[in-house]
Amino acid sequence: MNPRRTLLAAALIAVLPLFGCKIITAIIELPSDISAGSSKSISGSFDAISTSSGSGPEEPTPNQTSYRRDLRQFAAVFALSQGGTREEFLRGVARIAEDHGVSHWEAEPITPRAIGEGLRDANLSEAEMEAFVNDVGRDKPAAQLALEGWRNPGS
Amino acid sequence: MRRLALAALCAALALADARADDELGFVYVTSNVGEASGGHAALVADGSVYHLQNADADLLLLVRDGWSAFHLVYAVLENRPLAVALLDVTPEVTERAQRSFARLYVEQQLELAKRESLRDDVRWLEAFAADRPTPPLRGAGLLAPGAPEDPDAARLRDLIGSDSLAELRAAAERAVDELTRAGDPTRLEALRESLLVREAARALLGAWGLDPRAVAQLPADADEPLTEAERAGLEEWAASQERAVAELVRSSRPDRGYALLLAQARQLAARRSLATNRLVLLDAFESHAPESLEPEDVADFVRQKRREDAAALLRKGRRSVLASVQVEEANFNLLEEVASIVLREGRADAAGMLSELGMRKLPARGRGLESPPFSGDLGAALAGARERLSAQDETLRKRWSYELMTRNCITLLARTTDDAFGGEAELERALGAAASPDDRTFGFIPFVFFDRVRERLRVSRVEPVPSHMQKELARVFAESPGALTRARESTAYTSTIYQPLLRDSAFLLFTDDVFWRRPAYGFVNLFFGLGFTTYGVAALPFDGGVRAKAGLEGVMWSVPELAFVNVRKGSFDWVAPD
Repeated sequence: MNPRRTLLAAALIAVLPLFGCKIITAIIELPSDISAGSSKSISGSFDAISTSSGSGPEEPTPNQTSYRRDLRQFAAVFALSQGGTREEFLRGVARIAEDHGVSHWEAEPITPRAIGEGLRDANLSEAEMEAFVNDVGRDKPAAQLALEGWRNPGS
Repeated sequence: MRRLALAALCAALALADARADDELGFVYVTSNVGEASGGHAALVADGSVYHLQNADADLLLLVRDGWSAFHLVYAVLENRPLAVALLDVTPEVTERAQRSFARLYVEQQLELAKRESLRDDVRWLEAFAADRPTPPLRGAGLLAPGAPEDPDAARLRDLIGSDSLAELRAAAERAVDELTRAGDPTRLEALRESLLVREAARALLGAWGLDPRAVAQLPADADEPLTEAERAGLEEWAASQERAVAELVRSSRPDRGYALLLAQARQLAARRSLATNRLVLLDAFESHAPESLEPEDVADFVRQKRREDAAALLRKGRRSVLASVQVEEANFNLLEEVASIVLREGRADAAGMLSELGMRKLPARGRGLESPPFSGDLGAALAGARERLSAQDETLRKRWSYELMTRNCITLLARTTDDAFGGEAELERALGAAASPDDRTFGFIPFVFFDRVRERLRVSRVEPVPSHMQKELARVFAESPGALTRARESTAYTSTIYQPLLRDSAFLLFTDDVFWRRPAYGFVNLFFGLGFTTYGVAALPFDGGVRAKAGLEGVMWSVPELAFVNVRKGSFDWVAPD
């Protein structure tokens, strides 16, 4: 560390007791900051919708990408954990979907696909995946999307 | 020298705007007074920012946002210069890092949801034990039992079919009876879900209309007539909500009651929009916001600008969302959020933080529903529920409670990044080295961590991102060079860019853009702070001590300046959009 940095570190250490936990963690508690940041986020989301619809259906919005990633992680963690019930799984999916502004998640093609990807991450075998697909109903589009997600999970 | 600095700043501005979106990097946020006065750090990946905030009773929670919102809060309003160390990594590495943060986010959100459900259990058992009405259920207040046979709702009922709705109601009533008779306190969530399904079926069968209190009543200046494109979008949206109701009636989701009520309410709002040729949107904040908002200490012009910005955002949203070929639910929800902001005169913080990557607020106006009495030993059930809640609180504390040196915004950020990779060898291949600063004394301090990132990780370049003040100073000096301009802009009370705010502490001279003169400026600020404190003490009977506090803080933040260290930089309540 250069002398300037050392001085700053020393200053910080010296004032730590004055601030306790607040000194090196961010709590955006100013309403004006939260308000401005939130409005900017919505504005960014509108821009992403315009960009996405302008460049064809293959370009997901950041919210869609994030929903897919979250659901994939959830499905993988849930599949690897012991003793979760079907209701708990569905509640988890609903919670993640609502966090992304979706209440009717069964109508979103991303949902089954991301679940399939997550089950692949959890190392579900082909036989186990087949059983899952049969359980959902093999002829349903959601089952096929889940299978597609399992077969082609991406990197 | 000054010209060189300005040239460097202009180059930095250009770089900041040209920052590639598909890269991975660590962001260092410099210090300023207030929260995170020791600085902050974040990970940026593909234009998304991940960082940890001490947000919920000392829990360190992951926050995700788009770069533009993060930049606005930290570099513009908080006026902190940023630095971004971009890593030379493959897109796969970037994706893996983001998945690791997604995992942390999901784990935290689900554990918090579990705690909320257990809190509800306690509230419900307390109500049952005291023979009081049970707490409101989300979504139940969107529709009004006192407004039956609404023509649009009746049309929806005919579309679905009364027989299937009667079956749905009967099945839900049976489930409610079974659950209350069994009196299993661990199945209260299932009871709440069944009550909501029953209510949704009742609302459909009775063709209940919208509850007027669930609607975001827009002020006249934001209530423009619908355009042809918007009408077409709303027709499509109303039809999609009718399909959603039909699908949810057939669904086997145990928790579909809320989604059903929401789809009904949205369908009614869309049909009313088309009938009145004015956009009718549900209030997305009602059940998430406190009954009365904490008043803000901002100038009247800031409030006015916020109102104007919110109205402009609604116009932008209407164009983006309703003009789409297919109106998607998540996108339509954004419009509801903006209407809720307009309704609250531009206060986008009314229901907590919003983000580009989740943290959405769905309309969920609540209402208490009648439930049969809950069987069993309610005293024992309540004791058990309180124990489960306390155990869940402990689980949250153990995993994510804030600890100054061992678990803070730096250590958890670094560990989550490292968790994306299998071990040291893989980390080395992916990033050049582990991000965790365990090998560095004071590695938990943001700038020490950032120095280590620059030294140990495979950094391709470091991009400075100027603060709002730096950017504006560059503009002002370019437009009006000269010693007088410099003198004017060097003090808080004559600056044309900055307006003194008490939360920034009382100070006279900016010290962030000088180095050798900093101790001398620090002395001036120290004496100014002392003087301001004296004035604050005199004003104590009138202002509750806010000026005295600002004066004392002014003294305190002047001390580091005596040793060449700058922390205080000033901040802003509102800045005109670019």
